[in-house]
Amino acid sequence: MSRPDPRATQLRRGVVELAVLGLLADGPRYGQQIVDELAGLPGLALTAGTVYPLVSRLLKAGEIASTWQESPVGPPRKYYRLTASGRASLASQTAAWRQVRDAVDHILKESR
Amino acid sequence: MITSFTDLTPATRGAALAWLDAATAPLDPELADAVRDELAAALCAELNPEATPADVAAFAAAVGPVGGEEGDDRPGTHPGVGTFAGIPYDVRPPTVDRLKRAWWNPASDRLWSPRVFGAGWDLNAGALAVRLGLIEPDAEDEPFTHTPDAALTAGAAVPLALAASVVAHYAVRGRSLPAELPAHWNLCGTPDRWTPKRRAATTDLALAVTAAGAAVAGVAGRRPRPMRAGTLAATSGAAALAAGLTVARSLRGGWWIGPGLAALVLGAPAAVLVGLARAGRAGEQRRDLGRGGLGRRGGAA
Repeated sequence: MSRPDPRATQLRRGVVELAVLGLLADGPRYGQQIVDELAGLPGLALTAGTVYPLVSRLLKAGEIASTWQESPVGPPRKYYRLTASGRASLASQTAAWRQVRDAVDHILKESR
Repeated sequence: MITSFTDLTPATRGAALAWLDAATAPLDPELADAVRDELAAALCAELNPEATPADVAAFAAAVGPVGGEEGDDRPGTHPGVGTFAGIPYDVRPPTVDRLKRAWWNPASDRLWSPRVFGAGWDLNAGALAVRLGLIEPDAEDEPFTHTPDAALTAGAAVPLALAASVVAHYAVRGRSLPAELPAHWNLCGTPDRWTPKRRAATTDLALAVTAAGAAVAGVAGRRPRPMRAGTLAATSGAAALAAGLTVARSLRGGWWIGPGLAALVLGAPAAVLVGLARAGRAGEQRRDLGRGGLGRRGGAA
C-alpha cells in the first residue's frame, strides 16, 4: 500500500468540511453512508477516522443536526441533515472554494 | 482595504503585528508562515487606513483561536506539553474537556492519546469499544447527555460491588491471613516489599470505601450527566484497584499481578462507560423514535 502524499493530504484537509456539508445538501445521510460515499471519491481519500470527528464538530457547531430513524434492513440509524446555519456555511465555503479553484486553475493554465 | 501594514497608524500596525505573532506562535514552523500570510492578507482586506487597535482586536475575536487553543495538545503548543525520549508528557492541570477527549472519544479512531496529566498515554475507551463492536462512533451526539438517571444510578453498582467485595474479604478472611502481606511486586510479579496485615487492610478498605462513597455522592448530585459518568468511571477504576490489590496480596504473587491489575483498573471504567454510552444511545433513540430502546443495538454507523 502506497503512503499518501503529505502535500495532497494538506490540500484535502481544507475541503473536508465542505465535502461533508455538500453531501448533506443533497439529502440526509447516516454516518456510514457519508463515510462510504466520501471514501468512494479517490480524490478525497477520506476515512471514518476523519469523517466522524468532523461530523461531531459540525454537530457541536450547529451546522448539522441528527435524528434516529428506523431502517428497513436492520437497527435504527442516525441520520444527519443540514441546519440553516449549515446551509449558510455551505454557501460561503462554496463561494470561497470556487474563487480559490478558479484562481489556481488560472495560474496552472498560464504556467503550461 | 489597505495594501500593506505601512498604510496603518503605528499603533494599529503594532497591534496587528503583535496579534499575528501571537496567533501563529504555537503553529508548526512550516505551517506558521503560510497561515501568517493568509491572516495578514485577510487583515489588509478588512482594515482601512484609519483603523484602530480596537478594529484589530475585533478582527482577532472574529477569527478566533488559530493554534494552541484548548484541544490542541501537540507537543510545543503549550509550555508544559512536550515529549521526552519519545514519551509525551503534559503537566497542565487537567480539564473536563481534555479528560473526555482522552478517555471517551468514540469518534476518533486513535486508541491511545498523550496522557492528560503526567507522562505516557491514556486509553481511549470509546475507540476501543468501537473496535470491539460495542458502540458506534456516532452513537451519541454528546457522550452521556441522554444517559437516563436510572442508568447512572445503576452504574454506581460497579464501585459499590467492588468495595463490598473488599470489605467482605477482610471481614471473612482477615483473621486467617498472614501477619505480613505484599506491599510491592517486582516486574516478574514476585513480592519484594511487605507490610503489616493491618496496614494493608486499612489501605485497601480506605481506597474501596472512599471510591464507593464518591460514586454514590457523584451520582446523587445534580451535576451534568457527562460529569456524573466521569465520576463513575474514575471511582470504578479506584475500587477495581482496591479489589485487585486485595486479591493480589491474598494470593501473594505471580506473573499475572501487573497485567491483571492493569486490566482491572482500565477495564472497570471502560465497562462502565460502555454501559452508560449504550444507555445514552437508547435515550436518543427514545427521543427520536418514541419507544423503548434499551437493550437494542443502535446501528448508528
